[in-house]
Amino acid sequence: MADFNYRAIDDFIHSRVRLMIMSYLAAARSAEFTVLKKALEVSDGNLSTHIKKLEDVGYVLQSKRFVGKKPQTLIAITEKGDKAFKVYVESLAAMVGLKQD
Amino acid sequence: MDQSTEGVTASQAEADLALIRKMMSAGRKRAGIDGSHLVLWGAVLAVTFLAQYLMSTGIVPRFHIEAWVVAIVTGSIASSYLGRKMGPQYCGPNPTLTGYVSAWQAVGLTMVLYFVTSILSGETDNRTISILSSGVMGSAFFVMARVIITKPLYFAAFGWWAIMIYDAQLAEIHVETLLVKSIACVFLVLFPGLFLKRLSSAED
Repeated sequence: MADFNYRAIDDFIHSRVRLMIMSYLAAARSAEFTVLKKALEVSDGNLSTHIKKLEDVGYVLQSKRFVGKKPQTLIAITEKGDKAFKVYVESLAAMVGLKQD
Repeated sequence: MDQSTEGVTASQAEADLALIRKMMSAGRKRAGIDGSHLVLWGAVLAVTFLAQYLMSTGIVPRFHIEAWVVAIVTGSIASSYLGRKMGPQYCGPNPTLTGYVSAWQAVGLTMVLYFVTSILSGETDNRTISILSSGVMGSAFFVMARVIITKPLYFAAFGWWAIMIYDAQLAEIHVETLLVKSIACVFLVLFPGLFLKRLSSAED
C-alpha cells in the first residue's frame, strides 16, 4: 500500500464516460463527435458534458470543420491529455499489481 | 479483500483496465491501425528486390522493369482488396487514417512519378532511386510513428533513413544494395506490419 500513490488517480479521467473517451482517443488520436457517440453508446448531451470537462482541463481539443456542406465536430486528444492518460493507466496497473503481491 | 485507495478498489481497477483495452481496441480499429498493408507491401517489395538482385547477378533472366510493373500492379490490387475488406469498420472519413494513408500515397506517387519520368527520358539513375525510396519510406514511417506513437515504427523510420545515408555516401550503387533492400523490406516494413497486426488482434 505504501508504494501506491492514490493522488495519481486523476479525477478528471476517473469517470466511466471520460475514461472511455480518453481510451478511445489515446488509440485513435482523434474522432468525430458522431463516431465517438456511437462507440460509447451515450447520448449527445452526456457526451458533450464530458467532452467539455476534458476540454476545460486541456486533455482534449474540439474543432469544427465542414465535410461537404455538413458541419462536423472533431475531438482530438492533446499531448497533456495523452500524458495524463498514461499516468492514469500506470496508476491502475500499479494498483492491480498491489493486489497480486 | 481488495486493496483500496480513496474510492478505488483493485477489482475496480481491473475492470477499468479491461474497459480501457476494449475502448483502445475500438479506437485502433477506427484509426485503421491493422498492419496488413505493411505486411503485404513488405513481402511484395522484399521479393521484388530479391528478384532484382538475382537478375543483376545473372542467376535469373533480366526483366527488371517488368518485375517492378508486376510488383506494383499485384501490390495495388491486393491492397485495394484489403482496403475493401476492412472498409465496413469505418464510418466516414477519419483524420488519423487520412493522415498516414496520405503519407504512404505520397511515397507511392513520388516513386511512380520518378520511375516513369526516368524511363521515358532514358535517364534511369539507380543511385537516385535508392536514396529517394529510402528517404520517402523513412518519412512515411516517421509520420505513422508520430500519429500512432509506437516505438517499432520509429525504428523503421530511422532504419530507412540510415539506409538513405549509407546509399548517399556511395559513389555508385552496388548490386548488393538490392539484397540489403530486400532484407530491409522484411525487417523495416513486414515486421512492423506484423507488430501492428499483433497489437490490433491482442486487444480484441
